[in-house]
Amino acid sequence: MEETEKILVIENLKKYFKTTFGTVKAVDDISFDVRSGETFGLVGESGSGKSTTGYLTMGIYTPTAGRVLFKGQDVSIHAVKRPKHIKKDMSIVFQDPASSLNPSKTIRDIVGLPLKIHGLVTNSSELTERVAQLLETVELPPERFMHRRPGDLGGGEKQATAIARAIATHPSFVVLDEPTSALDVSIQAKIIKILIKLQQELKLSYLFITHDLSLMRNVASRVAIMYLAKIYEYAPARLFFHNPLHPYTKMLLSSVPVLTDEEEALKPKEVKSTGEVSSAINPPPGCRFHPRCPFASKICKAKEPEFVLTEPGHYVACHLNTKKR
Amino acid sequence: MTDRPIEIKDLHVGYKTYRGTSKVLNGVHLTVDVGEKIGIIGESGCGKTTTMKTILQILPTNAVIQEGEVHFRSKDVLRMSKNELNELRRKHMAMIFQDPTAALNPVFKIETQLIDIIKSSEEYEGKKKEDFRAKCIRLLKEVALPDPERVLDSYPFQLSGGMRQRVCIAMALATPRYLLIADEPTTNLDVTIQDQVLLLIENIVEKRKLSVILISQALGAVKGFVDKVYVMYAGSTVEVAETKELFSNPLHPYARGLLESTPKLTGGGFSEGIKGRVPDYIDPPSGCRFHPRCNQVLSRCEKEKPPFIDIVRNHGVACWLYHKK
Repeated sequence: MEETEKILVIENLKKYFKTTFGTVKAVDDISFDVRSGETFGLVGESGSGKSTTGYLTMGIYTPTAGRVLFKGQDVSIHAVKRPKHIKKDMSIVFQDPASSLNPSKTIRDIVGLPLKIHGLVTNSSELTERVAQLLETVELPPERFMHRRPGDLGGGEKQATAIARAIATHPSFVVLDEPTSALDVSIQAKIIKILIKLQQELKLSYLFITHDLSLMRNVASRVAIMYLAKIYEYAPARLFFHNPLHPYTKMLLSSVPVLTDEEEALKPKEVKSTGEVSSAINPPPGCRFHPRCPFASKICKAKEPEFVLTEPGHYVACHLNTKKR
Repeated sequence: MTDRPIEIKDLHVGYKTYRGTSKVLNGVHLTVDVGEKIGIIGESGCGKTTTMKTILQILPTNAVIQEGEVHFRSKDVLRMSKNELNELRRKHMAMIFQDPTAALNPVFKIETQLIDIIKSSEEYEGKKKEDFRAKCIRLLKEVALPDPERVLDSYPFQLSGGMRQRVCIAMALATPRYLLIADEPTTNLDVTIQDQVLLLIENIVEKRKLSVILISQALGAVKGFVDKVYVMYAGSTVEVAETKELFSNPLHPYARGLLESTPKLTGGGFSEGIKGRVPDYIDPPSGCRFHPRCNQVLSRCEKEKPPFIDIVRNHGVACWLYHKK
C-alpha cells in the first residue's frame, strides 16, 4: 500500500486524563491508518476509548503523546490551532443529534454555519441555495425543513441534519461517532444508506465508531477492536468476522443477539461472556483482557502481547497467537 | 375466572396536552399466560411503555384511560382501590426500568433502598435489621453480583452500569410475584453485559415460574428470550405470533420492515428501512395508522382501521392485505 493512499495515520497515540482518583488512560499507545475512500471501523465496549480516539483525530483533545497525521501533515494539536484548510477537510458526526445541534437555531443556520466560516458562500441567497442542495443530498425536503428548529425534528431527521452539516465544506474525511446508536433500527437503516451513498458520491473516507458489531459488518472495510484503551486486533472486515483470533473479539461476537441461523453459525462458541470491563485508572497488568479471558495463562498477566501478522492484513495482539509461531 | 396474570382488551389511553389530547394507545390487545414469556417490539414512541404503565397504574397525571380493560387474574385493574393497587404493585408485579441510573435514588445506599422494598412487601414486625441484610445479600447473590456486602454499602454512582441494572433486577425480585415487566432492561448496557443480564433474568424467571413481558428494541435479544412476540405500532397491536413463526414469517408490512432493517452479522448490506417516522398522536393518521409509511398501501387503509384477525393458529395480524373479500 502506497503511503499517499493513507489519508489518516495514527501513530502511538496516547491520551491520559488526570482526575482526583488517578490518571485515566483513555487511549494508550494505539496505531492504525485509514485509507482513502474506505470505512475504517473501531469497535469496543463503552469506556474502551473509541470516542476519545475520534475526538483526538478531530483535535477536540490534544494528544498526551503520539501523532495524528492527516494527508501526511502532522495535526496532533488542538483544533483551535489547526490551519483552516485542514479543518475544512475533516469533520465529525456526533452520537446524540439532540445535543449536537443548537436548539435555538434553524436548520438553515446550522447547516449554513460551516459554509459561512469557510467563506464558501458570498451572500444570503447563495447560502439558502447551497443549504437546500445539502438537505436534498441527505433526503430532507428543503422547503419543509429549512426554517424549522431541531426540536421539531425526529431523531433520524436531526441526525440527517448533522450529516448535512458535516459534509457542507466538502471534506474528504469524516469521523462518525456512533451515528445511529440513538436511533431506531428502521431509521438507522435509512441513515446508513445515506452515509454509504455520500461516501461513493463524494469519495469520503470514514472513521466509523460503533459498539454494534452487526452494523459494523455491513459498513466497514477494515475493523479494529479496542479494549481498555488499546487495540487488540485489526483485520479486513471479512477476516475479522469469519476468523476472529483474539478471545475478546470472540467474546464480543458471541454476545451479539442475532435473528437468523446463518448468523448464529458465525458466532464463536468457545468463549462465553463473563466479568466486566476493569477500571481504566488501574488497568490490569500485561494483557488488559486477562481477568475476563478463559485462556489466560501466566504470561498474560506479566507481559503485554505484541502485534503479530497472522494472515494478510490481519494483526492480533495475544499470547495465544504468539506461542504458536 | 382465569389465573392469567395479564389480559388487556382494546385499550385506549391518551395524554392531555396543551395542544389537545394525544391519542397514544389505540387498541392494544395483550394476554400473558401463567409462566409465559412474551416480548413486545416496536419503535420508540409506539406506546410500549405506556401500556406497561397502565398495567401498573403508574401513568402520569395527564393520562386518560379512554376505553378498554386490563385484568389481573380476573380482577379489573382499572377499577381497583388504592389499597388493592398497592397490594398489586407490592406483591404481584414488578418492573425493571430501562435506565438503572434513574431508577435508583442517588443519595441512598443500596442497602437502604433494597430494605425499603423488602419492608413494603413483608410483615416486618419482629424482624431484626440483620434479617433484612441477610435477605438483601441473598437477593444480590441471586443476581450474580460479586461481593454483595460491598455493594450493599455502596451508593449507586459507585457501581458500574451492569451492576446497577443487577441491583434493579434484585429489587424487582425482592418479593414473590406473578409477573415481571422488563422495559428495555439491557438497552443502556454493553453487548457482553447485555448477554449476561438476559441470561440471568431467564434463569431466575424459570426458577420462580414467573410470567415475563420483555420490551426491547434489540430484536435478537427478544428472539432468544421469549415464547411469543407482540408487534406494536403507533399504539396498536399489529401482529402477534409465536417467536419462531414471527421471525421466519412476518406478515404485517411494519413487522417485515423492522426485521429487514436489522443489520445482519453475516453482512449483505441494508434494506431501505421504513420511510417516515412514528406519527404525531394529537392528529394521528386515519384508518390504519401505518398507512403513510406502508409500501403496500391499499385504498381502504386510509379509511378504515383493520380488525385484528387470526391468519393461522396463534398468528394474528391487523392488516387489510390479509383480509379476504
